[in-house]
Parts: sequence; C-alpha cells; structure tokens
Amino acid sequence: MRRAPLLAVAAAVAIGAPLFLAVSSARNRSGEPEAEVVLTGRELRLVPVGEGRRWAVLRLDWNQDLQWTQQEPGWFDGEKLATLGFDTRLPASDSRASGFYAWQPAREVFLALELDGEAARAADRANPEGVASRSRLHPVDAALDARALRARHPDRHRVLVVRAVVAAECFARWDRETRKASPPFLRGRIQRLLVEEIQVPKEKRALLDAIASGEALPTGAGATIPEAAAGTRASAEAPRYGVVLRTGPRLEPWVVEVRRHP
Amino acid sequence: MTESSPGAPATSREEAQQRADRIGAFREELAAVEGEGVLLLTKEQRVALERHHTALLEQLARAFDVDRTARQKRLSAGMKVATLLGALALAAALYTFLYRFWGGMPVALQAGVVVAAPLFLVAGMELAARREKTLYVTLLLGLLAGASFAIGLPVLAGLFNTAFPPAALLAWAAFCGALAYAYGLRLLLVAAILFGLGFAGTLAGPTHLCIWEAFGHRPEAFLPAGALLLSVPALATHRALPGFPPAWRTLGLLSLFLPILILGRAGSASFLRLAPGTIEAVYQLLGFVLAALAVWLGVRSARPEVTNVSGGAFVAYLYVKFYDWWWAFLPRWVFFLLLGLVAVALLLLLRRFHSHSRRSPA
Repeated sequence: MRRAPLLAVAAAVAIGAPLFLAVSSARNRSGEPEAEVVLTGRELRLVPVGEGRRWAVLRLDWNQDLQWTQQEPGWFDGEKLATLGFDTRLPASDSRASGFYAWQPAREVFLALELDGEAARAADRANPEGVASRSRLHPVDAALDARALRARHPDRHRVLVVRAVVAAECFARWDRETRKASPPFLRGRIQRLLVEEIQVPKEKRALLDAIASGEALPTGAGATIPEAAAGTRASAEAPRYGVVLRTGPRLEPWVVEVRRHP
Repeated sequence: MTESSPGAPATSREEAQQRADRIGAFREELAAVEGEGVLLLTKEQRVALERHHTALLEQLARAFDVDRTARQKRLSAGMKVATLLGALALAAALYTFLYRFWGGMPVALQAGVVVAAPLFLVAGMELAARREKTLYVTLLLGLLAGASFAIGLPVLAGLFNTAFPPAALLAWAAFCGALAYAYGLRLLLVAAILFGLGFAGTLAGPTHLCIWEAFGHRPEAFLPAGALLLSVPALATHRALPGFPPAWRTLGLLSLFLPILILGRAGSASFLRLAPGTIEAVYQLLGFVLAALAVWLGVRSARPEVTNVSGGAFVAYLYVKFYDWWWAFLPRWVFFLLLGLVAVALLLLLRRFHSHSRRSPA
C-alpha cells in the first residue's frame, strides 16, 4: 500500500483528536456558565503530591464513601433506577437478581450535587464523626435529561449538575445486633463523576501548590501568620482555601479563582 | 487467496524470507537425495543452480535483509524481543518524565507536547524505514508513537477538565492501523484491532452510549465486531502484507468464541430478554456448531490459524460441558481421567483422518 496517504491519515488523527478535545473544552467554557459555586478545601481536596509530581490537583469530594455505609437506598431506589433506563423487572428478592443486576451495564446520567443542603445535614446527623472536615457536597437526584434535572434544582449557586456513571445493584443491610442480613433491595450506586480531578491553571495555583507540597506560603498568597509568609514555618497553619468553580453547557467544571477561605 | 505464487518476485520482507527459507530447505533436501543416490545433477546443472540461488539470496538480502542462516534467525528473534522491551521502557520513561515536569509547563506547551510527540515519532519512523530494511527501529518508534498518542489523549482531557470518551479507542485504532499498513508492522495491526474491539466492548446497550464501565457487560457487543474482523481479509487482498490476514482471522475468531463461551455460562449478560437458561443453552449449541464449522473451513482452506483457534475453542466448550455434567459428583481424579480419555479418543480419531488423508492426499 502507498505510504503517503496512510501517514496522512495517522497525522490527521493525531491532530484531529486533540483538537476535538480542545474545541469541546472551549465550547464548555463559552457563553453563560451553567452553574457557579464557591467550594472549600472540604469539597475540593488537594490530591497528595507524589514523588513524580510537584503541582496541585483538586479532586471533587461528593461523599462517595457514604454510599457504602448507607443502610437505605434513599432517593436512589428501584423507581429512580427505572427512570434512568435500567431494567428493573426482576424483583430483588429473586434468587437470580444479584447476577441479573451485576451484569447490567452502568449508565451515564446527569447527577445533581447539592452544597450544604438537607442531604448534608442528614449525613452529619447519621455520621457525627468528622463533621467539621466532611464535604458538604452530596448527590441528591439524577436524570437522563439535564434540563429537567436543573428545573427540579434551579439554584445554580448551590446545586451542581454534572455527568456521572451509575449502576444498579442488589443490596442487603447487615444488622450488627441480630447478625443477620435484611431482605435484599434494589438501589443505585454512583460509580464516578466523569470529571472528578480538576486541573488548576498554573497562574492560579500558587497557594494550592504551596499547601500541597508542605512549603511555606508564597508572599501575598494569603498567609495569616508572618512566619508562614516569611517561609520560616510549615504550612500546617496555612489557611483554608476557597475555589470558585464553574460548569458550562457540557457540565464540565473549571476553576475560575482560588482564594483564601476566611 | 492472497498468497503469491512461489516463483513470483517477493513484494514484502515476509515473502522474501519465505523464499530464502525454501532455498535453504531445498539445498538440504537436494544434498540428502544425492547422498541416497536417488538424484545426481550434472556439473553444469549444479553450477547453474548454485549461481542462481546465490544471486537470488544476495538480492533478497540487499532488498529485504532476510535471515539466511539459523543463527541469523535467532538473532532476529532476540531483536524483536529487545524492540518490544525497549518500546515499553521508553514509553514508561516518556510518561514519568511528563508526570514530573508537567505542572511547570504552561497550557500551550502542554498541549503542544501532546500533539507533537506522536508526529515527531512518526517522522522518525519514516526516516528509520528508509535506512533499514528489517524495520526493527521503525517498529520501536511506531510502538512509541502509539503509546505517546494513547497516553497523550487522556492527559489532554485531564488538562482541559473534559470527560474522556471511549471513542478515543477508535482514534487509537485508526492511528495504529494506519501506521501498521504504512510499514507492514503486524504488532501495530494487533494493537489497532484490540483498540477497536475495546470500543465495541464499551457498548452499554443497543441504543445507549459507550461507557468505559460498561466494558464486557454485554459480550454480544463483540459478535458483530468479530464478524467484521473476519470479513476484512475476505474483502481486501493483502498481497504485499501476507502476515496480516492471519491476524485479522485469529482475533476475529477469538472475538466470536470468547463471548459465546461467556454467554453460554452467564445468560444474564445477554441483550436478549429471555430466560437466562434458554440463552445459555442457545449459545452453548451455537458455540459447538460454529467451532466445528470453523475447524472444517480451516482444514479445507489450509489456514492453520483458523483450525487451531477453532479447535481450541471446541475443546474448551467440551471441557466446560464436562465440568457442568460431572464436576459436582465425580471424584476429582475420575473427572480428570475422563478428560484425558476424551483427549486420547480425539487423538485417535484425528490419527484415523490423518492416515486416510495420507492414503488419498488429493
């Protein structure tokens, strides 16, 4: 086969694919933002700086671990799963249900994350340990139509609508006192958000880089004590940070501003 | 048929190597029959034959750098392994280098590195291919180009905080496939096919999106992909690339047999809204029929890869059925004894066919 046309195809793909990603991102950041929320270090955790990396990355904390400790399906029950297109014809009590739901593919849906709402207060009541450091962001609803979901949760400064992958599962509660499992029930499980790790542009992350690497804060970066600003004390006393996060039409987030959290 | 006739000039390194191997085998057999007194060439015939073969081998070595001795073949095998290991190590070095210094780069430079790295490596492939006939360095650069493109796309998606779609698998497949056909590199073809199959596996449902997490949950998604792979060598001749059709056929057959094996055990994994037991029975039967048919086709068309893969699938299906029937209530040693006896029976049966075909080779 002639080589030149094939090399042209390879080059076109090598250029076109990144271009597609760049255009998608540009389209997401153009026009009116879909939502804008101010989050703190509780909701946007600094990913630990490892041996190879020397810059800060933020990870959205939406209390994923609480899914494993919840004893009730809550809002994400069998009925909600059916509205999301899952095949729920087999009752959870059926002996084949576990395998039936395990084989069902996960689905991409739109997820509503509420900041410091009733779900956060309920989680704090149920799990009083670690309240001060727990993320106030909790999933509260899901739908296949982003507009319909936003219509149900119109506050664009307290509710983020994001894209997520969810699955159906058969679950049984374990009672520690009776040491028995409850009858199984159907519930949804949020596997991940499509964008969970958020890269911060270099020009905005001096404060985050300093906190993440344990260095003294750079001058003017919002240190509350003179020693930290002068570089003579570690960042353990560094103030918390706040992040202004926006999402666009594609519901993908980006950092607008990093500020010292008062 | 895609193989060229024995006397035609070689158009690829693979054909050239096959010709060189035939010359070597011919020389050995000629010496044997002369030693047994069956055939004696005249001096003129011997000189003409030797002159022809020597000139031909030199021409093949100049044009394609073929291996002419067993020692050269062993060295070539070692060079292939070194190429693969080198590519893996260099890809890891590239990834860890970027990981270390990535954050210090401005966004424009980051994006530029991601786009430029595969292009530079492809340019390197072209330079290398013009200088060396064996294409080992070309293959190493090609694997690096594929790796840099595969690594670069998710890195770029993370940089832009944009979701990374499974459609990227198609981009990777297209990139590797184009390079495979440009330089005749079968390893890149295999990578391209696997990427394509990976995309097929992410299909979540007949009318749904492709999602990474959905991979393998609906094995039927691989069946049309497998049929497509099998059709490629049938529809497109590969005269200059005789090593490619076996790769298409092997991976196409595996894309059919493996999902059928899974569906024969897990009917709940099917798209079909039938009772799981019914689905499993249908796929088990289908598996046996397809494997037997493919073995017959492979023998008939003299395609060893078809025969071997299909035969292996048939035996796997058979052993799985034996497990279903006997594992629960037979002692383990009896179970494995039965498997062994079945294997011996198959061997005797195949020997019978073999003897029969030897008596009537036509």
